[in-house]
Amino acid sequence: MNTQELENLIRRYFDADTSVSEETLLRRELARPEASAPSADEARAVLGLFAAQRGRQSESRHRSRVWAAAAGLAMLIAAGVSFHTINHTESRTQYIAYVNGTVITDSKHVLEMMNSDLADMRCASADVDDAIAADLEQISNAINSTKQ
Amino acid sequence: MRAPLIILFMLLSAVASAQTGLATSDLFGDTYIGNQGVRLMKIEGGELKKMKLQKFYSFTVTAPDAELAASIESKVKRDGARAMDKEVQYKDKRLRYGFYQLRQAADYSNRYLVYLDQTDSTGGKILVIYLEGKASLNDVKKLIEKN
Repeated sequence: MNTQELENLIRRYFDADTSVSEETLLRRELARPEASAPSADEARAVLGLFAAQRGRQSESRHRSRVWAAAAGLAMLIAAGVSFHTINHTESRTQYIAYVNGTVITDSKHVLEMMNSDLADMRCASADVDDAIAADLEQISNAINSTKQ
Repeated sequence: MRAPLIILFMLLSAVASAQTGLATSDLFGDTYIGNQGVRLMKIEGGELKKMKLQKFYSFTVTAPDAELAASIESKVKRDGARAMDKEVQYKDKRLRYGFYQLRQAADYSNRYLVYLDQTDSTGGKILVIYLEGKASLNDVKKLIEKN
């Protein structure tokens, strides 16, 4: 394509008179570095800008789609694992004790041990309550003696 | 592409970390099972449901050496430092009793840690209990008080 033909094509492109095949031809011509015409650079800039924007838009759209898919998948898997964990945990029954390395699986025996542990805790908890009460009483006595 | 994988990993880790993530969790694992003077008990489900609990783990060690006693106390303190609610008693600069309401598990179960150190120069024992389930703080306190 000579310079005059290219110039005409560019003019028709800016006038929006080109067909799709002519636009393709123009793009191909402008891609050649030797193609020269007074308005070639302007046309290159316009076409180049459009091409770059299209590329960027499509790339960012693609990236968004990957993100959305990955986030969806992650949430789905997490929900599935949560559901499985909760169900599995709630349905599981186990009574086991190791005493000096010996295994005990008799539920009655294990429950007795549990009650014994809770009884120890009750005594300790009561001791703490008594200690708090004693401390409060001492403070109260100190306040009363200051008043007198 | 790496970021979604990191998010996925974090989500899965959060789901998987029920009792894991606690310093005391190794007391309820295999570490001390064969040791003399150690009693490990694990109850899940069954009778516990009546108490609104799903897990009852207890670790007892009779006449522990000073190193083990200090290690257990340190683990309990570490978990206790992040507790939502606590009641503790110290004697001679040592933690003797601790009742902690821990942060909820990934499945929103309530978690509690109870510690009792009854050791003295003649022996004694250390008891650590981990409770997990729907039971509220009041439910657990009542459970301890009625025994």
